[in-house]
Amino acid sequence: MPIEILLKRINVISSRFLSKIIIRRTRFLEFELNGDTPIFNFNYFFATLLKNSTLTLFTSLGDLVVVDYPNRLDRFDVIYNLLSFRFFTRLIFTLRSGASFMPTTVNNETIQFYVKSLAAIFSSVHWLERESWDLFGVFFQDNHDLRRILTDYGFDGYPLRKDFPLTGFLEVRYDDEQRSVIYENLELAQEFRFFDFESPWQNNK
Amino acid sequence: MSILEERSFDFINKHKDVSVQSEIKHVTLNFGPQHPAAHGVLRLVLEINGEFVERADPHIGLLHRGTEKLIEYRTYLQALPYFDRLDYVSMMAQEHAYCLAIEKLLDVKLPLKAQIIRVLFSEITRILNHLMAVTTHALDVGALTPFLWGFEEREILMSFYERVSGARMHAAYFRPGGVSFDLPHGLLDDIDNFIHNFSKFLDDMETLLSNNRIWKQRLVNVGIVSADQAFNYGFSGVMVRGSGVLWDLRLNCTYESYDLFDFNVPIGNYGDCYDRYLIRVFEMRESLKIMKQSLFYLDKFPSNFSVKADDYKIVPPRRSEMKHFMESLIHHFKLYTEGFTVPKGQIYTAIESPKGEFGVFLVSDGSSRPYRCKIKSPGFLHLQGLNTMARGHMLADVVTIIGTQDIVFGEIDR
Repeated sequence: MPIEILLKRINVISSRFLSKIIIRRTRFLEFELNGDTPIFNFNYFFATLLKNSTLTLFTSLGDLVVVDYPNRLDRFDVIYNLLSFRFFTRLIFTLRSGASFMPTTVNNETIQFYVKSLAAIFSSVHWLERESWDLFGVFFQDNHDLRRILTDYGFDGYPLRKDFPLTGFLEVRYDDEQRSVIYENLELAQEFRFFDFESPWQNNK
Repeated sequence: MSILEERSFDFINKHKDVSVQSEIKHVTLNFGPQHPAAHGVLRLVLEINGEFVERADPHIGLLHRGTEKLIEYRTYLQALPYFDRLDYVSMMAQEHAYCLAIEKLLDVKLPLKAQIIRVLFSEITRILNHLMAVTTHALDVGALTPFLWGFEEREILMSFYERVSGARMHAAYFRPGGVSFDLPHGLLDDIDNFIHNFSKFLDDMETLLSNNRIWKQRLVNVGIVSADQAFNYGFSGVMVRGSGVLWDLRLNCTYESYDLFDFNVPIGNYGDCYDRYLIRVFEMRESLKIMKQSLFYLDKFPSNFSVKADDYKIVPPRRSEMKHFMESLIHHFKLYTEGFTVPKGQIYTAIESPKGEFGVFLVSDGSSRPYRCKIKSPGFLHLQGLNTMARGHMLADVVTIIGTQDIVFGEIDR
């Protein structure tokens, strides 16, 4: 398989920086790689390699997923989902982003979690990175157009983080006196109910 | 030079400077969130030079409902109806992707009848979506009749949805472990009838559109996408097939018994809007073929063949059993309160939804609620490419391009 050949040839990457490789051979070859690496910009180099190398040719980036594990120090898992039309292969590459990188300041605001942007390699990643920035607060360096995309204009906070409540902080209503829509602090008529289940059953495995 | 010539010369020279100052500047136009041709809530900020578009900047998020966050607080079965409401014109396709993701993590095998019913309804969904896409595209471009005829056909298909699940549009019919109910009597005959009459509708629609001079002038050479651009922008589905790449997840990465069916996949030559329109019409005919084959298979099953997986830890038991047997009652109770638990892991599953590659990235932490469920919608990446596709085209072509990308805001904004 092409990517195994590539990984064998580049021993340094495969042994030291990719901690876990899961290969799923269904009718379609799927690779899952974990990039637990102290090298900054590793995702950029690896993605350039994956896109341009004739052995892999992952020309299309389908999705950028960020998963929040608040109990870990390096809180976010940035996951890239690449597709190779030529080799009928899908590659899911996880990059742990977090405290291994020093916080920087951009526009007088301290950014805790930042990753190098892949905008120069794949054009599809612009909006995906905007979405990750908007919903999680993962900053992408060298993405020239990193603004909010899904939340309201002037929204404060990063909604999909685990410490952001489901019901949020503000609510919106139309005020007759001011003749406009106003933002107010949230008032819930009932406390938010969340049931914590623990199953005494064992799973199939 | 005579005095008159001198003066006119001065006059021309003076006004030359003025005319250099008053060049046409770019006009920023708000193709607002409320627009009949904007396919939902799209705020498109266009920079226009005369009639030609220099830059198109879509502002999305006006239909953002926080689906991914809400899913994290619901059990797997409770989260299923969110998927119906994502792309609200092709409902069961989204449910399909979600159910496949859960079933892969659970490692559960479905009975063959459930798989074939799923394929049948996936193809019905494909026809539903393409009818909406092509006819509303025609409506935006200016042809009003296909829209009315097409939506009459959609009513028939939605009546099939209703007979099988109870709801015309958001049928939470595909469940993890199979399908929620078996097919009612008489449905297969009615679907057969529909297949018989639908090709006539397609022929009628094509006589109105396919060889129409105006339609061709509006669509040919508009929104050309090369294969490299399509790959780079993450396009999938009809957008990629229009550029000549044979890529269909039903063929290349077969899921859910599509290997039992024999169908063709159309690809285009030029990558323009006209090619994509022809591909969608052709795909509707191919869906009819698949539906006919699935009816043939479904006839062969004995009447009481199960449509759900065998495991009561995942799939709720029938009501009659629940009322007579104690363990079935306990299973029913546990499944509808806590829900089934899914082993730890993460998986990405994608299906060939009518709009492209619809994927679900599901992260499970071993409990009965999804830890993270990311929805990869094809429309998101297609709309991102609107800027490059619309550059250099005229304002009316922007409408054509939005229509050909098959944009539905439910799945873009989630």
